[in-house]
Amino acid sequence: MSNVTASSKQKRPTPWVHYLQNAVLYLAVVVIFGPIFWLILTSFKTDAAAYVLPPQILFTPTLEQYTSALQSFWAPFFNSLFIVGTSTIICLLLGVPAAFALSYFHNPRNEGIVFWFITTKALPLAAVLTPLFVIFRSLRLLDTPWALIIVFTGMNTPIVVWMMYQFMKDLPRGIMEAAQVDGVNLFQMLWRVVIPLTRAGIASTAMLCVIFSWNEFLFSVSFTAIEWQPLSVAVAAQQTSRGQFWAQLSAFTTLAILVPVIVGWLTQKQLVRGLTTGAVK
Amino acid sequence: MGYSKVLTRRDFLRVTGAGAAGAALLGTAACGGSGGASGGKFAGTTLTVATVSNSQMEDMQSLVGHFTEKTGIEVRFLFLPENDLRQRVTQDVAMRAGNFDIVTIGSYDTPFWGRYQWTVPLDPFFEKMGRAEREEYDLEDLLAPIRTVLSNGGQLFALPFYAESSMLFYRKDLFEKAGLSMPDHPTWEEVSGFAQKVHDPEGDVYGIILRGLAGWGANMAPFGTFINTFGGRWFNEDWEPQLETPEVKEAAKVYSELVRKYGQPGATSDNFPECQNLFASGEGAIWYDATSTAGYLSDPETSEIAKDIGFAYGPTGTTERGAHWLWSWALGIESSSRNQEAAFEFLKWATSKEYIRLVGEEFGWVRVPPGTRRSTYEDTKYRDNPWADIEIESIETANPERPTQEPVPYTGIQYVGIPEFQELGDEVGRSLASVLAGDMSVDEMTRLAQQQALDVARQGQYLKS
Amino acid sequence: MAVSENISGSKSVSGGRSGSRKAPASPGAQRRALLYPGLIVVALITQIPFLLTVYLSLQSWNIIRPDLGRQFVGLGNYTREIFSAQFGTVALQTLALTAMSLVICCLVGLGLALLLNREFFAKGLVQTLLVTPFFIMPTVTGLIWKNELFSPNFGLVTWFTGLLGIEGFNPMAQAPLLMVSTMVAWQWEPLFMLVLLAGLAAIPEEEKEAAQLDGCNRFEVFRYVELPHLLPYYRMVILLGSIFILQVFGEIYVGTAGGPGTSSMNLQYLTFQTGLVGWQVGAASAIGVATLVLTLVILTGLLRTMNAVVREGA
Repeated sequence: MSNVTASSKQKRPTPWVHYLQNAVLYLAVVVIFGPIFWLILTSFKTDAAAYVLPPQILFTPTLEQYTSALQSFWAPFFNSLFIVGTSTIICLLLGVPAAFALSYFHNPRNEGIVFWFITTKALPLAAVLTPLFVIFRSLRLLDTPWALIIVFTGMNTPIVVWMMYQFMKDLPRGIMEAAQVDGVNLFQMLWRVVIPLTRAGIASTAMLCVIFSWNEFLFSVSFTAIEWQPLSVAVAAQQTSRGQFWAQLSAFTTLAILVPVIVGWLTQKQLVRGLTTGAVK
Repeated sequence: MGYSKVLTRRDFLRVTGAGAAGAALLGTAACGGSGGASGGKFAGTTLTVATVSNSQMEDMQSLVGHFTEKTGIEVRFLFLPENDLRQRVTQDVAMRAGNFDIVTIGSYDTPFWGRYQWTVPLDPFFEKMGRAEREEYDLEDLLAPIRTVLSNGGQLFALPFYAESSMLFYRKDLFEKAGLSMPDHPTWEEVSGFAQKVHDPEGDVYGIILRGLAGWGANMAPFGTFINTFGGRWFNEDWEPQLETPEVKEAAKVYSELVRKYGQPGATSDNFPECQNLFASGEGAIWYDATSTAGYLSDPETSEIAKDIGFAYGPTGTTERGAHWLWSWALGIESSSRNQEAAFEFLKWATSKEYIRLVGEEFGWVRVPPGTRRSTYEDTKYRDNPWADIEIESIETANPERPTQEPVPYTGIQYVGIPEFQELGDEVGRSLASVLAGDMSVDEMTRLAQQQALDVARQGQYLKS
Repeated sequence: MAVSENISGSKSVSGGRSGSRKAPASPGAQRRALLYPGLIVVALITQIPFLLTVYLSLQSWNIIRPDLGRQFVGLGNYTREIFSAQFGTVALQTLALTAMSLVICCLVGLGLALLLNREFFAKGLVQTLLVTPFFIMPTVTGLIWKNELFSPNFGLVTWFTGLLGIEGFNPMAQAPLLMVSTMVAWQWEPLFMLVLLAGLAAIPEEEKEAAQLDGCNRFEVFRYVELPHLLPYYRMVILLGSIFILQVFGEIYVGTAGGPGTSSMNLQYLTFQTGLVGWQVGAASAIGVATLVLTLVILTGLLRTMNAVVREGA
């Protein structure tokens, strides 16, 4: 570890280049994070102040928007938590073993199977919406969490298979062969060797599943009604067609993106690490 | 934390509701009505209502405690923006999924939804009513044109929650400064002249605000009335499209020139709420849009120009026919609902005189859902609003069955009352937006629109050929 | 270091296991037991609706005209919807949108990854903030662009350009496809940045040092050491990104509604418009199936090209 810092210190360019690079980076933060920062700032304003130009940075913050946003926040929040959590766990339970099987056994069809998984994502969602609606209606699954859990499982398991396949296919074979010589069967090897080795990869794959299903709108609005309305639909419902809504919408949106943002912040380092340790060749 | 807040709020509603419901019971008892009997009949039923997210509907949600107190029926709401609501609800009724008991539908949808029996006819419910109850509800008090657009084959399929026509709003202060005066019944030519004189983009005041966002319910609502008032129509009596006529071209020319010369910048992304924001914050001198926004514009809490606002009738071109539109958000009962009787109780309550009075007393008379009942304009404080006369006269003179100079085979003023119009109106609206953005000529737009209308007439098997 | 730890770890595992030895299943059976649950579930969930979609694409069915019923029309939907000028335009726009977004993502992602792959003040915070757009709902992104940034009357950017004296700045109407691309790029750039950062971090320091000792300047180090290492990472992230970017919907739905005209419509939106606004289920299914075929062609082509590039670079 100390070695690395020493060497990076050695090759550190002249100070002004370093500070110039920093300046570019901070500017990038302003441009890229700025819109979100402004959204959060707006959520502490009154509806009238939200539209004032020139834009106000200094103002008396109010929690007015949050008080009213929180009233309609919790029910859809817990719905989303349940639906997204359950579907992500199912996706991992199905996708990780499949990816392991595809990466461990040499089979000429493996690449084809992995590609097939990905092709299931190529059909426009709007085209399958009507068939799915008919199916869920006859199964009496509309406005239950299961319709969305099924759909999200179908949408995200391919992502899990594909990502985990990338992570697993270049694991050092020596480890697994050594384990196999000892008579460990495949399930044990998956559980005790492969999963610990690809933990970072699994964490970042789970992050993708959470984000995609948390933010999904078209299926969410179609397959739920009142009982199981998820957050992405509740956000849309905040866009009232009468009156100025930007401040209250900002407050609700800030609350709604909290979970994916926190999950994302916590797992972004895992994504980098998961990809750095041997994968992707 | 949040839960406790909800609970206290609901408790609060319950407590305040109890008082009002007691008063209401006394009222019906005095009439000797059967209203008291319905108090417990549906107790424990839960109704689900799909509705469009706007402030009047949100008021309804916060007052629903009164209804629950009175009948024992719980009500839950799904709020969605207009487009999402239409998609979700159409899916639900067309496939008979039955997720909702009550759906909020527009005057455009109601007739053919009734024809397909997606919503139930309401006449049988009215026939079952006792005399006192019927008198109290007073069906005849609902404005005739509204009842017409909510009916199919002589039967009523939805009850109006609110209704609107279109009118002109202008800034009296700016007109005074420019030495202009707005007639009560202006023509578009006059309006165009005014817009030119008060247009001051340097001072952030645009001559006229008009909707530009593509969509049959967005820019096509005002533009639909332009087609009518300049003498055009969508189809002739044999369902042959009539969109390449000089009349329609003139309408498109006037509309696009108004927007391009004196309109707000970036009009093609503006629908009703954006226009409302602009006008309420003082960036427009004239605005042609829904009558139902008059209350919002006159409320100093929401509008910076509340004291300077003037009102006029919807301007005309070459004919008065169809110069102002007619629209209603109404409540209907889904055919697959298992709680139709209870649902009707809710319809009755939400569209009653009593409800209008309740909103007026709780939230003030500018927030009352307007346009549905004659009594609102005669017996309540709403009539003191300066726009009330224009509003009711516009609604009463709107004739959706004869919207154009020449006869047409369809009903509807700013729309054609066929299911396919959603898509056709969207398509033409997109071309109109292109014209407003300067990417397309009027001739090109009408040629394209004619073709699209022809496709619809053929595919929908309206055109005999 | 890490590897040897794991080897010893796995050995102790196997030591504990050797007592309870059962008859081992054949490798083929084990492979199936691991692979099939996922395979079958995904096949059921995705292929049944897909087959129904193919079936419906041969029908004429307008949901809001139940009086017309549902009729078999053979390939009629395909000939009418696919061989139309509109489909061609929209397909090209889909390609242009995807290509523009990918180019922005690749360049910006690389630039940020290079800048982040150093030690500097507040590195963790900077990286975290740069990643955040990836977690925002696409519909909210549309609102941010349309209302907060580029609204002609209230937008922050518009206000700023106004200060600079630019009149009539309204990119959402003037360059809608480009604006949708920037929305998409804003959302997806974090993923590109993270993956490429991982790629850069995986390059052994010695290789770069060796190149520097050979007299390479910073650009040459990038060109001959870093870029070849990054190619497989680019392949992965471009493939993953293009699958999703070809399917962009929420940003368009809220941001531009496909307009003005049809100038910012993609195939997803066209399917939505036909199937859920016009309610022509048959026609929408045909467009959906055609979109699927087109997407597969693009993905296959992309995969081949990327594989070739990676092989050459290695």
